[in-house]
Amino acid sequence: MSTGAQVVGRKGTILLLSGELDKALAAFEIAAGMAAMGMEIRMWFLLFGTNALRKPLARLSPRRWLNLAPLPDGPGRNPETDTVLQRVLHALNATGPRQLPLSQLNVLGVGPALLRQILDRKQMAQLETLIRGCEELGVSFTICQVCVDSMALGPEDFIVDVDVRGVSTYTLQVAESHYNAVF
Amino acid sequence: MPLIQLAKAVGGLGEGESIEIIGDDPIFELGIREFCDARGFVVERSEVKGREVRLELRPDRGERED
Repeated sequence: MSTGAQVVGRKGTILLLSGELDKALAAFEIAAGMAAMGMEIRMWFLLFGTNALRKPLARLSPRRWLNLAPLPDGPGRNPETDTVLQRVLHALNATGPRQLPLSQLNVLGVGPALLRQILDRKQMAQLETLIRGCEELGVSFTICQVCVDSMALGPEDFIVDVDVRGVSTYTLQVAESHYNAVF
Repeated sequence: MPLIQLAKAVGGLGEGESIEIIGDDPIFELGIREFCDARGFVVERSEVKGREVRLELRPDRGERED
């Protein structure tokens, strides 16, 4: 039975709230698969979910701990209300797919390395590859405006092009979507 | 990942063209047939040898047999 008319052109919204590797893998795997099948997928990122898209910065890098450059001042930001806590969050948060922990069996970072090895062995896509695949398939990436301001994030912090929008946009997108998921 | 690569590859198919894809897992064929159903393609030919699955796809011209 053909289901073509019921998939192509339908819209889906996927929100990644978790900063954990397993949740991010699930979110991007589903987003990529749905986009490949012809759906229009919009991905949203809140709080620690933004870590999956962050540009990598080594854990012990001086740029991470001794960054005295002005905090980003892009869309959604109000630098006048910033405090030192934004810099603390910047330094402590995971940056990029390779620093995300697992939600279970993290074992001080050994767990994610084991999972990556398993994915390689099984010739399955790593998170970075899924993110690029989503980008190439036209998936849009939106960061919550509240998170952009409170976590002092700017477009230069991310490995993909992102929009900054508020909950009203999310509400409209969810209302017109056939599939909505939160990870 | 196969679906991502296939979606990108079929985007470049011209009129009358087909594409052959090769997978290494039996479940691969099911996923591809579902992709074809959703995206309007037809499996012209399929060949299974052990774990290797070869499928030839072309755009559906509305001539499918029921």
